[in-house]
Amino acid sequence: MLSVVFCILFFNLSIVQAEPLHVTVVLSEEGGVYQEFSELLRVKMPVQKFALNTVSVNQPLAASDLYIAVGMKAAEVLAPRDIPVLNVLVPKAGYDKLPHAPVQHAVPHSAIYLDQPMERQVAFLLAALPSTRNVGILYSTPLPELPNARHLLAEKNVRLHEKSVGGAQTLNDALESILGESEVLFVLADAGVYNAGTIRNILLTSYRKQIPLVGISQAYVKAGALCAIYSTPNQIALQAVEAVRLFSESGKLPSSQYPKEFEVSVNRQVARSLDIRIEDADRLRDVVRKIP
Amino acid sequence: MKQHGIERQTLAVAVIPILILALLLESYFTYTRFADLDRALFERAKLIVHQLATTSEYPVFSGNNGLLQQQVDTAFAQQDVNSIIVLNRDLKYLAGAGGARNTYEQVLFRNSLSRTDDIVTFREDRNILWFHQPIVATQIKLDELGNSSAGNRSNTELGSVIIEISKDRLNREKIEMLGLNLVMLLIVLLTSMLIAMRVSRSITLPVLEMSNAIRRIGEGHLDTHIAGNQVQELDALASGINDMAQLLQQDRNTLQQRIDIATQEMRLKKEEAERANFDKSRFLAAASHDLRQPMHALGLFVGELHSRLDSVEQRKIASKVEESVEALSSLLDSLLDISKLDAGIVIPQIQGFDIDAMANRLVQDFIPVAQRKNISLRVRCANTMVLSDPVLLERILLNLLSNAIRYTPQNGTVLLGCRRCGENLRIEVRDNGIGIPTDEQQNVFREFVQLANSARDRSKGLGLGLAIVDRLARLLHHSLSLRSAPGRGSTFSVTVPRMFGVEELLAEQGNVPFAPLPKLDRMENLQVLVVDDDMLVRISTAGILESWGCHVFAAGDLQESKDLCSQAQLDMVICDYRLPDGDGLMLADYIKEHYEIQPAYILISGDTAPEILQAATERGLHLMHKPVRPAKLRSLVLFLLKKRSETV
Repeated sequence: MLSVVFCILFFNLSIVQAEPLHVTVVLSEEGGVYQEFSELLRVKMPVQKFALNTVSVNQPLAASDLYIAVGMKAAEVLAPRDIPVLNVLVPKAGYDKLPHAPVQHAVPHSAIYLDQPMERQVAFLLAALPSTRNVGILYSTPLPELPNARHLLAEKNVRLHEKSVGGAQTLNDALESILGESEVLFVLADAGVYNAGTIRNILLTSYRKQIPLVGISQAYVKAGALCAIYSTPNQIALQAVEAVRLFSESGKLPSSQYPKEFEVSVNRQVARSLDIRIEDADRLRDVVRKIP
Repeated sequence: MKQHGIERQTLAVAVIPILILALLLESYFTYTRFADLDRALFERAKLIVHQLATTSEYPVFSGNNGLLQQQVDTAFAQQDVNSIIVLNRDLKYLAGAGGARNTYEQVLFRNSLSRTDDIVTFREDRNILWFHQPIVATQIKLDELGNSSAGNRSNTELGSVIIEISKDRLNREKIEMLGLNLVMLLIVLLTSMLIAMRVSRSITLPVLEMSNAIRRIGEGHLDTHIAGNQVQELDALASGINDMAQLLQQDRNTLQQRIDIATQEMRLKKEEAERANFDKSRFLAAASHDLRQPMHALGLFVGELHSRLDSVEQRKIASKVEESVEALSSLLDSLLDISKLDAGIVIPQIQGFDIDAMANRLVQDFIPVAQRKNISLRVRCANTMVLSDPVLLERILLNLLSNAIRYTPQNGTVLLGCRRCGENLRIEVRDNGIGIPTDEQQNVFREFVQLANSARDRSKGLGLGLAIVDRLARLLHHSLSLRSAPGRGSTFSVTVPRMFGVEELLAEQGNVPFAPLPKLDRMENLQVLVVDDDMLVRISTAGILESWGCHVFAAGDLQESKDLCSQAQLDMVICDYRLPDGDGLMLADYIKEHYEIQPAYILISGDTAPEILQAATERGLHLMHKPVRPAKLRSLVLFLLKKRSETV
C-alpha cells in the first residue's frame, strides 16, 4: 500500500520534472551579435529540457522560469525586475553599475562578463610583447579595474602611463602625449575613448608613432591593432548553457563570473609593418591559459 | 484679301514645320545637354569635396595642417575650383586655397541649410557653386557589445570643407553649344528654304510662262506653244493651253474665211447698190433734163399762143391750156424735186445773201396769182443777211407762199415777214385762211396730204409742197414750225442763221422799192439772144419774148451765138446750159470779155446738178431751171433789166 502510494507520488514527481524549463532570451537588439548568440543558445540547449523563447527588449515579457538578458540594454531593462536573470555579453563595469535593488534578490541574478579579467589581460600583454617596459592607457572616466592593472604591471616591473581624455585635453593631444612615453597602447574597454569614430584615427596616429595597440576584441585586430584577447559568443554561450543547466537542476545561478574560455588574435601584417616579432595566436593563448 | 505667290506659300509650308521641329529638337537637346553639363559639374564638384573631406579627416584629427594644406592644394589644382576652405569643428580656419573669400558663404551654409551627416550640401548662383561637407571620422565597427551608452558619440564631426566651384567654363561651354546649335538651326533653315524655293520655282516659272503664253494668245498670237513640263499637272495644263490655242486658231481661220466670204458678198451688194444709185441719179438727171425740155417749150408756146389769140373764146381755151400746162409743170417739178431729195443727191451750198431781195422777188412773182383771188400779199423786210442755200431756201419760201395763197380765200391776206430773233432770222409766211386742226398739223408735212382737197383737185396742187419744205428744212438744218387753228389761219416759220458784218453794206445800198412794173412797158425793142440746141425750146422762147415786144436773135450752138454777139448790141442773153459745142458758161465768159456794157444774162438748165449752180453763182449769173414758166421768166427779165439800167 505504502509502496503504491510512493510509486504514484514518484510518477507524479517524475511527470512534473519532465516538463521543460521555460527560458526567455531578451535581446538588446535584433540581429547582429545578439541574434547570433541566441541562435547558439538554441543550438546548444536540449529541446526536451528547455523551451527557449527569444524576444526583443521592447517586446512584452511572457511568464518564464528564467530570463537571459543579452547585452547591456536588456540587462538595464531586466535589472529592476524580481525575476531570475542571467546577464550575458555585458562588461563587468557596466553590470556593476546596474541598480540591483533590493540588493539581495529573492531570485538569483547573475552575469557572465564580456571582458577578460585584468590578470589575464596583463598576462597576455606581457606574453605578446615580453620586452615592454612602458604601457600607455587612455580613459575617459577613471576605470574600476585601473588600480588592479597598475598593481599587476608594477609586479612585472612595467611602468603604466595613464592619460585622461576630455575637458580641454582633446583625444589627439592625449594620444600624442601618451604615445610619446609608451611602447604599447593598452586598450581598456571605454567607449568614451575607443569607438567606431575614433578607432581609425587612434590606430593611424599610433601607427605613425610606430606604437602597437593591444585590443580587446577581434574587431580591433581587423581594424589594425597588433593583437587582442577576447571571448567569442560561442564560448560565452556554452558557459551560459552550463549556468542554465545548473539553474534547472538546483534553481540557482552561478555567481557572476568572467568568461572561462577565450581566444587570442594576432595581426601579422601590423606586426610586419611595425617590425615586431610576436608569437602566433595559439601559442599565446596556451601561454595565457597556463597562467592561473 | 492679301495675296501671296506660290513661292511664298511653298516657302511657308516647307519652312514653318521645319522651323518648329528644329526649334523643339534644339530646345530639347540643348536643355538636356545643359542639364548633363550641370549634372557633370555638380557630380565632379561633389566628388572633389567628398574626396577632400575624406582625406582631410586624419590631418584635421591629428592637427597636421601641413598635410591638410597639401590635400587642399591637390584638390585646388582640379579644374573649375575657385577656392577651398577647411574649418575645424569650431569653425576655425585650418587650411584654404584661392582666397578665403567664402567665409561668408560657410556661415550662410551653417545657418540656412539643414545638414545631415556626411551629406554634401550646396548652394549656387549664376556663376558660383558652393559645396559644403562636414569632415566626419571614418566609422570602423568595433564590437558594440556593452557600448550602448557611448554608441551615439561615434559620428563625431571633425570639421568641414567648403569648396567654391566656378561655373565660368560651364557657362562658356553652354554659350558655345548654344551658338553651335543656332548655326546648325540656321543651316537647316537655309537648306530647307533653298529646297523649297527650288521646288516652288519649278512650279512658278512654268506658271509664269503659261500666264505669258495666255496673254500672248489673248493678244492674238494663236501660234503660241508652251513646252512640256516635268510636273504632271503642269504638263497637263500646258498641253490644255496648247490645245486651246490650236482650237482657237482653227476657229479663227474658219471665221476669217466666213468673214471673207461675207465681205465679198457685201462688196458685191454694195457695188450693186452703188450701181443702182448711180442709175437712179442718172435717171433723175436724164428725166429732169429730158422731161423739162418739152415742158419748157410747151409752156412758152402756150404763153405765146395766148398773147396772139384775138377772140375771147380762143383766149379762154388758151388760158385753160395754160393752166393745165402750169399744173403739169409744177407737178413735174415737185415730183422731181422730192425724188432728188430722197435720193440724197442735193447738196446745200451755204452762203451769205440778202434775204430781203429774195423776199421781194418772191412776192413780186406771186402778185399776179394773188391778184386773181384779190389777196393782199405783203412783205416785211428785216434788213439783214442770212446764211443758207439761196436756191433751196427760195424753194422753201416759194412753196410756203404758194400754199398760203392756195388756201387763203378771196380777199384774204398773206404776209411774208422776216423778224430778227437773236442770232437768227425767223421767216414767217402767215395767212388768214382755213387753218389746220392741231391733230393734223404733223400730217401736213407728209406726201400727198391735202386737208381740204378730198376730191384731189389738181388745181389745188399735188400735196407735195410741204413735204418738200420739210425735207429741205431738215437738209439745211433750219427749224420749221407751224402755228395754226381751224378758221384762224396758219403761220409757217423757218428759222435761218443770220450773217453778221454786212448790215452796213446793205444800209448803204438802201432799200430799193419794188413796185410792180407796168406791163410791156420796158421790154419794147430789147435786143435778146436766145441760145438753145433744142429747136422747139428755141422757137418757143423766142416766140414768147417776141410776143412781149422783144427783138430776138436765136442761136443753136456756141459758135453761132458768138457770131451773133459780134453782130448785134445785146441787152439780154437767155442761154441753155448744155450746148453741142460747149456750155452756157463759156458763152457768158466770152460775152464778159467782148462787151463793154454787159447784157443781162439768164442761164437756163434742165440739169439740177449743184456744180452748175455753183459755177453760175460764182460768175454772178442767174440760173433758171426748166421748165420755166412764162410769168417767172418775165419777172426775172424785168428785174434784171431794171438792175442793168441802174448800173448803166
